[in-house]
Amino acid sequence: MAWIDAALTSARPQVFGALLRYFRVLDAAEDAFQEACLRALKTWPVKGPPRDPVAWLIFVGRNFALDEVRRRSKQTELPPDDDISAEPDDTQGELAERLDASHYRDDILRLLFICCHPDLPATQQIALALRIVSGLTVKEIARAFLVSESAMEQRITRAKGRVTAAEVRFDTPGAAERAARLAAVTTMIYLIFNEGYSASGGTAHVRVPLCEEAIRLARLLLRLFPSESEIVGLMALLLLQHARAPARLDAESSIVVLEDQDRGLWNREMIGEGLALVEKALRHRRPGPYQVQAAIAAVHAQAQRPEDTDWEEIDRLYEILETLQPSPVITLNRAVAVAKLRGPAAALVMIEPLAPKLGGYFYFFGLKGALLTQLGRTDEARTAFDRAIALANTAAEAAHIRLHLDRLIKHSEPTPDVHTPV
Amino acid sequence: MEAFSGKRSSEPRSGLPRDVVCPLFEHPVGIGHTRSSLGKKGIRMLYSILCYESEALASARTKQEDAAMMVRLRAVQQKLHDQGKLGPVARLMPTTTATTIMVGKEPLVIDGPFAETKEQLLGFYVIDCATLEDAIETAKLLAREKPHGALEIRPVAVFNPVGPSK
Repeated sequence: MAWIDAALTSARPQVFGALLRYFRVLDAAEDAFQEACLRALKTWPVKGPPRDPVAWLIFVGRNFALDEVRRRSKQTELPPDDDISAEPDDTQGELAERLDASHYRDDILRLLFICCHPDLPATQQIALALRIVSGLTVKEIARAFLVSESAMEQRITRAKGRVTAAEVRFDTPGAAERAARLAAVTTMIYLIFNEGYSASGGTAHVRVPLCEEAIRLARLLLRLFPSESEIVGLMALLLLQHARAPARLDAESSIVVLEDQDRGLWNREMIGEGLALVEKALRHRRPGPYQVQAAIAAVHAQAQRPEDTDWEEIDRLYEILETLQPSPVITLNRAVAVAKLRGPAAALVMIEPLAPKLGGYFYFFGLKGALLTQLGRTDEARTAFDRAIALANTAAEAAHIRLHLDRLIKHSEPTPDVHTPV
Repeated sequence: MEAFSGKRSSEPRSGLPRDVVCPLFEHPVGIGHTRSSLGKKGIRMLYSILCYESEALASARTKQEDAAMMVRLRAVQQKLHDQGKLGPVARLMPTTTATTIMVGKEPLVIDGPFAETKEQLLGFYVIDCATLEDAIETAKLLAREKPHGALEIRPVAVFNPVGPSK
């Protein structure tokens, strides 16, 4: 029944959003959605899929919840569950569709805004979004974030409690507030992707399902805002980054840096879509951090071989990014381009002032070690690599640095191998 | 990107390959032909098969499901190719990559697809069939390998795969 699962998953945000509009309480909407899904699983295999699964689910979910209310208030007998009249025929479906089509955008947006409520810390926003919008089970989310199921259950319950206490607003927020909350949504999606792209702990360095979920959420958001260039940029960035996933780890799950990746393994379809979106976003001439990062990823994606990489362009883009969003991590990334263009000494000069701010950052010491190696300053390189291993988030990160150390110990020709976080 | 003749485009964004020419499609057809000329010997009839599907559903498919479907579709395409029936095949990128131009003296550029509908145009085929009945049977072969959506058969009025003829 893979097609039913796919249909329910893709219908979920819109159906859930509509049910939340009716019932205004997350738990009530969730119950109604669950019931509608159960009935779909019972009915669809027999009768075939409805012409409009979304309208069908909204209709059934709403009726179920209304029946519940009636049942409780009147204590009267109701027709049995499998009564045909509880399911919409095509005319009723169309009616439901007409009622809901006009709310489509607001319903989904409200759902996303609730998950990214300003009162919630980022960890709770992410958990809530994966539970409510994506429909992942608590167990799946717990596994993705390496916490126990009960801890994740608690986190989600707490998030729901806070949202309820904060009294979710059902009117449409004004332009300024909307922009701020939209930014919170894009950040939430970006954080989910990052967690999958470069896991912050545990054994797996890359968690593909989280990346794919983030891409799905970005698509959802982009469909609502096709002209919002930063959302287009975010979508492009995620696709271009994720396209490299098949090449980022070798058979032994060791990290393969960008330069050494088998570019034939990159997902060309995703790169194609990502490049198309970068072009679309840049047309608007409203640069933003996601667009610039996507443009950087695009430069890498377009290089057939590592030596074809247009480092001048990457340096220039990082310069723009530094002005848009000043951060030591961005300067660190720019240093990689500078090392390519002007050599390791220039890059080292650039990153040394970052030490106080990035003293706990794995990539800082990884890059520092690599630059020192290239300069032949072996002892200092070893110290930097040791520090990087101590700060590694995953076994794969630590193993990657150990590889550098082994090379140093063997006193073999230092390999110019710069670790690029982006 | 699928392409007819079983060749695959190596360029990710190149659209249809330019160097691949199916013998049946190497000359422009249809130009100047009217319906009354159909059925005459030597005039071929082209039909487009437009593939509609809910994009949300299509993107909810797992990679494995999608790959399995493509294998089945390629088998049908190979069969049609061997029969000399298959012309250009295109799988379109998601509608989020679409840009719409409203025509007029001052064309208006809009991000997104032309119409917001439940199903989106996600790809198309051009096939060479003697009759509509044949085109329907051919489309059915493809339809059996797809999980959802619909195929629209639309006769091609003008088809010119190699640009304007001299």
